[in-house]
Amino acid sequence: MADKKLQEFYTHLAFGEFDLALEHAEKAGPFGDENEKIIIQALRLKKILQKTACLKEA
Amino acid sequence: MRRTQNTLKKLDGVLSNFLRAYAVKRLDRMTTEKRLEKLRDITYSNKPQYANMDFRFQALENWFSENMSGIDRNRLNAELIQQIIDCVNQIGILCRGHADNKNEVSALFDRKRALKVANLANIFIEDITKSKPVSSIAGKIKIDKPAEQVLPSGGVPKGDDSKAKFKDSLQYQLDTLDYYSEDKYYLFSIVDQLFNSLEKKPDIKANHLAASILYFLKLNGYMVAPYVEKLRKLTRNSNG
Repeated sequence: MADKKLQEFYTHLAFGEFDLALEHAEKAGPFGDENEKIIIQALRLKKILQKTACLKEA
Repeated sequence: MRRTQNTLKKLDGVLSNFLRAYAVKRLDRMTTEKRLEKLRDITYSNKPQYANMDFRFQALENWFSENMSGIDRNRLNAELIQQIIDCVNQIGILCRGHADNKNEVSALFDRKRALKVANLANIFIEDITKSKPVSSIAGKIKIDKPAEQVLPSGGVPKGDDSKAKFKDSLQYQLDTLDYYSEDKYYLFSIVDQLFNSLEKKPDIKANHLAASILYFLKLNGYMVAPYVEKLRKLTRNSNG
């Protein structure tokens, strides 16, 4: 990701806008840095956790 | 069921906190990297705005003033510190006016400002390397009077490397003029200083510089005959 896009991605994250961050990353990728790859995986895991929690609730 | 749900929510909360904290840290690091990129740009770039060394030193002075306390030391890893050290080493070269870089347009600059930048760079590097292990620490930047060259018996040395020696002598001339850049030194007073030095010991470069200044002054209509005579006398004494 270019520096500017990377900065936008982390700004979304810092403000807790996780869905926006994931959306941004999926559009702006690919992610060369291993750290970013892990963060994206963590965001996907977070999405799965939320969905699972919602299903359980239903 | 509720317990599983609570665990999932807790896990989600932990993950959110981690992601937020990591992002803040990463953004800080990016800011630091951007600032260092600016330092590298000022130090190394061949942009026209830095072709005049005074403008480059002014930009460096501004950079150090803005970032001396602004850069978070915790965000500096060994790689970033090394980049700063490389910049400071290069600034040292610029300050001494020995820029080997062929793209360097001019080594002429305001000596006082160069000294100030050297001091700021020294303080900065000392501060950031205080508690960090780094592979190569930048030496303290000093701006010394350029080294002279003792005149060998038999006069000016001959040989294939005369062009390199001439170039070296011209560099000495630039450095010496920088050294005497204060307003109180006129060209004639620099010649006086060179004569004082030549009286103590023969020196090819000082001799060459004195002759060069006197010729320049002559071309500009100044009366230099007594000085030329004195230089001749000093040269004769050193040769024989």
